[in-house]
Amino acid sequence: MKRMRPLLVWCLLTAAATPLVGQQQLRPADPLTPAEITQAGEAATASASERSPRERLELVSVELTNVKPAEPGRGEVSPADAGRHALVTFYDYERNEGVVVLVDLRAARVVRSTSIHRRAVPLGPNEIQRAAGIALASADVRRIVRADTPEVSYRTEGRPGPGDDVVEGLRVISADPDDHCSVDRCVDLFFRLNGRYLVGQRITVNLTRRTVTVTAQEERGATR
Amino acid sequence: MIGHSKLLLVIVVALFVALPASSQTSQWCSGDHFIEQRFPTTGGEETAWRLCWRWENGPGLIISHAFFRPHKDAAWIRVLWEARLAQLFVPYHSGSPRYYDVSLNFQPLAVSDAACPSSAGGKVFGAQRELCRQVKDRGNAWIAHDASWPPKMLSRRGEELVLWSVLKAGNYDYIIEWTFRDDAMIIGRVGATAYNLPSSPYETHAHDPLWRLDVDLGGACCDTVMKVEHAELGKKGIDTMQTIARERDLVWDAEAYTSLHLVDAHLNNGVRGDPTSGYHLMPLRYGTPRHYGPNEEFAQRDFWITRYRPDEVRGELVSSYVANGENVENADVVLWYAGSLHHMFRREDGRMLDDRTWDGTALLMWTEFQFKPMFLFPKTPLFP
Repeated sequence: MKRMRPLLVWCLLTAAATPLVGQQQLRPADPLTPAEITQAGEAATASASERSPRERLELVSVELTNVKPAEPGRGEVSPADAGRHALVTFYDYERNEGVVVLVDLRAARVVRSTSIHRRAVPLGPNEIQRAAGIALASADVRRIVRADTPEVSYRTEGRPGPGDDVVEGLRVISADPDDHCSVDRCVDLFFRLNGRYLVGQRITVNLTRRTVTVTAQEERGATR
Repeated sequence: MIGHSKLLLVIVVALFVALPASSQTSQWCSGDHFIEQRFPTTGGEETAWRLCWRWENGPGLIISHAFFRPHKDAAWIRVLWEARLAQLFVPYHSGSPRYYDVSLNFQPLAVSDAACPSSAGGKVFGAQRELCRQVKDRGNAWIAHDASWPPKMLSRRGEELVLWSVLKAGNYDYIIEWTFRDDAMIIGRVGATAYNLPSSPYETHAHDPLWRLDVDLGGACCDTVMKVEHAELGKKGIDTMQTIARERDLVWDAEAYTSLHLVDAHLNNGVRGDPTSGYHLMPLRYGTPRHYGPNEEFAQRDFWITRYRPDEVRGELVSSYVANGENVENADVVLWYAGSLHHMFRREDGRMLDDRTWDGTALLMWTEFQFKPMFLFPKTPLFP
């Protein structure tokens, strides 16, 4: 057994250096963790705010991406060499355009920052809520969606129940060059009363100008 | 009584046995996000898929690092680096509104057990219940007849792995579905359902998905794309294959059966005389989308071929991605394909109630494409 002691010592050292059962390292295509999302968002915000004031930047999304080598050879890319990266997208209200920042999470650095056309920038998680606030500040909108009725209380955040009154939205880009929404950041809002969609009115909020427009829609092509 | 040294040896050996298997180090993802599916589901393996999935707010369900094994003793063959829905354009007939439904950053619609029943081979996965994974019979893979008289039917049932999630885009819900068949075919589908547009529930509109397929057949490099078309010359038919050398867009011609053929420079099935392995991108559609608003060039073609760039993922910008005409021959290429649904109102979509709320839902409508292997197998798979 004395001769086995060096072998035993080697085994113990190797076992200590190996991850324990139940503790796994992140693999390249595993979803981003909350800590990584925060890390990427902070690094990207610091980069993007070199061009525009931080308060004018809307953080829209933080998305995982796996980056391949610039000139891949014939062999398969090893997961061990793939790294972990995040694509962070902003809407820059100052410049009315998008900013996409590629962040290397393992090196903790910004790889590059690219401007993209405003039409390619999704809505951020707070923008529908903000649009609802702008819309519900209008007496006309409140009347149409019955928001002044005591039983009605529209929710724009949290976890509504199935029969709740809810505001939802879709990003909209106008094809009419005379419409500000062909350039500005706009949202069409939908109101659900007792869980059902209110029909027949189009309510559009211009987030850039903080205005709301209501358009009555004709009933085309059907009878009730 | 066991000595201290021998006890120590037993403990150390037990630690090594309990540690994660070394084969895990070749995986691109872990836990429920890693899928390995062998076919057939009963009996010995004949083919298998291995892939990763995840949900991203915006594009929804993303498939990555998809590998196929054509035989249980064969090496894994990479087919996809990543596949995703890059945009879903929804223009209304009056010209407005025009929505970009992959632009909303919503969380997934949690899949219910009723929608993903175990009776249909289904099981729900994900912290947000965002994925339905189904393994199921897909019908007959082939039917043939033997040499006897009367001939006897020969057949084989096929199986498939189906992964789907639901992107809730305001009033509409979109099923983003990926199918991985036992014969190495991949099918991408988008289904539109839920509520007609509240501000204009009777107005005709289109739902135009644009898929992005980062195909890395046999590895990231060395892929070439060809446009394949058929033509009738008198009583004869001919097929042509035109190599795509530079980034560009392409039009689908129904009479030409236009498809894209992506081929790897080196991967082969081991059969002398066969060309190298590839995949055919084949549209399945009942109409062709064309829209002519400002900056809607992405909605005026059916295919794009681009060189891989990690931040080129926005479908509405694809026409700008091909503007510099980078080389895509024998390179790391990405394919883009546009499908379409044309939705005319019918009563089955629902009705307006007296209180001006909407009752009812649009039944599911699908648009899809097939991605079919060519010369990947040395013979007919799943045969006999």
